[in-house]
Amino acid sequence: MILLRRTAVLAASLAAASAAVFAACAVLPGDTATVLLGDHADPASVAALRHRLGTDRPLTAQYAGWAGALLRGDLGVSPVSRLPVAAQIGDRLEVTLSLALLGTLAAVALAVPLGVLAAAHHRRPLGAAASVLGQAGMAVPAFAAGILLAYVFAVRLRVLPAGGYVPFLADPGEWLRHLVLPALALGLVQGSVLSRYVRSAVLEVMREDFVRTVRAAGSTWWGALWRHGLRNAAVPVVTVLGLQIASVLAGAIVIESVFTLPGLGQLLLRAVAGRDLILVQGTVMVLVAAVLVVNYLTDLLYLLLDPRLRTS
Amino acid sequence: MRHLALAAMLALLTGAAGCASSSSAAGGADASKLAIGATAEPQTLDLTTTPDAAITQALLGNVYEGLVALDENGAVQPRLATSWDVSPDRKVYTFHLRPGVKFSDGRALTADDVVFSFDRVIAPGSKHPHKAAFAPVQKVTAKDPATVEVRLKTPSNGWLFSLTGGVGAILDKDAVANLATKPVGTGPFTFGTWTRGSAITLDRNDAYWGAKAKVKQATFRYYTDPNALNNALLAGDVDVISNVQAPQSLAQFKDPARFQIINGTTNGEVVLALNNGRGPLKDKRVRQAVNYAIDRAALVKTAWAGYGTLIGSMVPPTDPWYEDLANRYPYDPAKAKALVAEAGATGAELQLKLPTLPYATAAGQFVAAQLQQAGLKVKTTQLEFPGRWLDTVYTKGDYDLSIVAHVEPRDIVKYGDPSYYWHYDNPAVKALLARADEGTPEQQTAALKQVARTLSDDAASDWLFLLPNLQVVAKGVTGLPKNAVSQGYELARVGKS
Repeated sequence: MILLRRTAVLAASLAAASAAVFAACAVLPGDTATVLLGDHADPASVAALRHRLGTDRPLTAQYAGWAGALLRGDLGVSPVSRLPVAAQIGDRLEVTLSLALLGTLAAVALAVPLGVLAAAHHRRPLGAAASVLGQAGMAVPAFAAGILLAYVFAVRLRVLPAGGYVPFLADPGEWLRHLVLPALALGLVQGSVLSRYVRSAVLEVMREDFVRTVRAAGSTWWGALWRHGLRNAAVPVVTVLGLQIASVLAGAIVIESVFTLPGLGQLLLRAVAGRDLILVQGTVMVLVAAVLVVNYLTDLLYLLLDPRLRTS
Repeated sequence: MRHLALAAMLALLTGAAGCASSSSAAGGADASKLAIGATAEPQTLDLTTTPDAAITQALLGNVYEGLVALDENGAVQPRLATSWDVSPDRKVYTFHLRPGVKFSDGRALTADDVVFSFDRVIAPGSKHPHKAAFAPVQKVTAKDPATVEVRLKTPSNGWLFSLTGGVGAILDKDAVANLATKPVGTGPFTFGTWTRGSAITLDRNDAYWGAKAKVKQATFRYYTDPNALNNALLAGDVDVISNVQAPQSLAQFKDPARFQIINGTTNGEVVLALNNGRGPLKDKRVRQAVNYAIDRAALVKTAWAGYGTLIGSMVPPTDPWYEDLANRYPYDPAKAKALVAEAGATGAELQLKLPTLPYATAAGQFVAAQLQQAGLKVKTTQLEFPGRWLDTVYTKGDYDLSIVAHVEPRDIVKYGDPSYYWHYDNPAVKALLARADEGTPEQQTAALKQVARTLSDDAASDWLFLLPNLQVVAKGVTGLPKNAVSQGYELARVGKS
């Protein structure tokens, strides 16, 4: 019953999102035909192109056509590049996902040592310093960190590329080299936020009875943390990490521009500028659907984990 | 376990960083590969569906060639045609095709390809963005495999000139199915790969009919962020910045041991468009007041770091009918104020609608401030370019003032079209433009000189400055043209050591 209701909510949300996305594109001044043909085109050509693209039809008919195809899993073909929208999104997905993944890894690599250090030296100068460092990291916008990193490592030291992307399958080494700086820029902010959760989770766990027992049996603070504490502290940290995914994706889109990574964000910006509205609608829908479906699955997971929720 | 993973990752990161100098990306150390940093990536490679300058920049003169091409001085020269005859009434052009020209797929170029390419533009139902340029064409026929005859309804110099642009590109009639993704032409480069979102790679055409390209491979790399593009050159990822978008940042390239800054001219007149069709700017005195009110020399310093040429009319110095009209309206705020008062326009509010382009935003503030001093009120709004700007200013004409660079060559002819968004309507100019189009080159030059002077006298617009062709080149790269006269960024003569 509740499963049915959740599913209905998902379907309704997707339908509402598609209408909102379509409406937003429809009210954008300047249409595909005008922008594509440019300022030397004669009005007859623009009208003819509109007719061929079907953008001279009533909005309801256009929406019905687009949404109907969407239901069949067809995102359409971009009138500008004449390539299927799904294929274009597929091309860019690897970049954004690679960046998000490495950015998250960098965040964890930064947050865990910093957070543990802050907890270990709780209420002592070193711990305070670690906390200040975390706060400072949070205050730096990801793009500013990116510009700074590019300046130091690419422009001054010339040890890493200033931008660009190499697909993983083409050359894993170059893939990594091109993503080190963007991932660090992204991970810096995310990691700083995360380090605070690591610190409090570690502090919490280390006050637990089982840790006290271990320490009473002769273990050091670090030993207890290493053997028993970290695994338990990981649970809340992983939860926060999951919640941060949305902001990681948003950050990735900003970082793409700084490092000229051809990801989804760049695709979307270019499509909006060129009024490739079919591509804009498709890309936004895929992003929205991803978030909605993840939320839905999370809901289902809770139902699975906690039987009490099933009856309410 | 956790420590181990961390250590492994750190090792990987530092290891990757360590091998940087040995395996450089494209551009950089390899002298046979040239990497050009550019700003706007095309969305399609089909130059018959959109006038996107990014397509012609990469392909024209490199992959595609026309019957004729422009030399560095802006003169029309033979390319795929070795010569052409013009009938005494200037209505029949007979082109003699160059022998031994092959498309990159191996097929020989024949007159049929030329007929095919031109017919695509003029066909009924054609939506070619430059269809208007081919309006004078009546019929295109292949006289024999090496001769093409074009009959015009009226003589037209503009038509012959248009053949040097994207609309004149000769397409392989067997390869047009894939124009959007796989262009085939006769040029010194063949199309290689297009990595969407980052780069277009061209390979040297070793079967080219003319002088072979100096580099084996040329790559256009695209950067949306000007700062990222600067970094790319500083870091050695690219060899050239093809068009500097932020001249204020040029200071970082001042080291002559590493870089050379090339400062040439373009066809890009930065026009302060005055809507001649409505409000106070219908009055010539107010338009002249605008021209007197703005200190253009100071504007170029403020908005474009002092790079750029003052022109005073719609003619770049590389056109044969160029005259220096930059001093027609010297900076004179008192005179501007007096003219505004005389026209009874003091306190009138003007809508300045700026496209979101770097030069327009920079120049807009300056213009607004100086016009306020002349007694005009200016309300500034920013419009996203191209979408919103095209819709509001260009299509609907809902504006008084706007700033945009007109980058097409010889676009002075637009002043002959009263429906164009300036709404400048002067029958004398229209007649002169027609005479220029139909006449001999001498008559054309004389008539267009007069058009330029008339436009200036009428203050049809305020020509703020001519965009510079600013390129930054890494040491060892040679052969880049100084002035951007053609629509293509031709790379055959560019070498690297």
